[in-house]
Amino acid sequence: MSRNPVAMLIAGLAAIVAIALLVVAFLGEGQRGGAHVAEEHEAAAPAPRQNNVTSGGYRLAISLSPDAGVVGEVVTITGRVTDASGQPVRNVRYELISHHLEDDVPIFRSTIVAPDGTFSWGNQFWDGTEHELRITASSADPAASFPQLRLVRVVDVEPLPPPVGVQVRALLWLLLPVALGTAIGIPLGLRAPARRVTNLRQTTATA
Amino acid sequence: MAATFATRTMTRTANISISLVLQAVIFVTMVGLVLWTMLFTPYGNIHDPLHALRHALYIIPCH
Repeated sequence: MSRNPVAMLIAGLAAIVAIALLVVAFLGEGQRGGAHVAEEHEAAAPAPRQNNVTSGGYRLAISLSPDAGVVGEVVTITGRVTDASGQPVRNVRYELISHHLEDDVPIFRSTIVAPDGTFSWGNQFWDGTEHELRITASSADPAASFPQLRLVRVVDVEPLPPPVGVQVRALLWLLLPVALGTAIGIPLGLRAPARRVTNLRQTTATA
Repeated sequence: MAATFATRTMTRTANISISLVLQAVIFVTMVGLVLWTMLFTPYGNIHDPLHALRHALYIIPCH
């Protein structure tokens, strides 16, 4: 009952690796939902969290409800401009931008004119990473202009681990070419030397 | 003579440890396990360093 020692060694190593990977997968499932710790630390340092900005006596103030985002849930951002006496300014043009910080791309951009000077923006964050709200207020009424006010507010969005079903589907798509390659490649690989031997035999026979 | 033939057959059978189909299945499973560990596990020590790679591949759901 002799077995090839090299094959046994490789099989043993493969089994150890498989067990290690299974242990990691098991540990990972225990951490589901608590990931992305490292990137949060990376991005934590330069995070301007302005809720208001003042220029020339005019003040742009915003409030978020809730204060942090969750993927798939709406955060309502409301804001208004007040003058030096605290009275709300009417006819304000707002430029609203939601900027994805990790990929450095604007996700949402719109310009609105608020006749009563107040805006209310229900924004749904599509990705569980930090977003920057860039809000610019300027006067829509040439008769009563005020200096442009620009406010930058970083919003934390709680990461949402993808559903296991979605992950398994993505894994199957990745495995498909490997499985196809194996299913097609092994028979081809086995047949190739045999064909060469057959050709050699035929050549020898005819010679 | 019969015993020798039987011994030879048994030795040969023992040397062919697993069938080719089973080997292919094990191979694909191992590739799947490696891919899962690299790209899908939420285990922080692996998940976080490979964050950029996951995003660069575009089809991997991350957060």
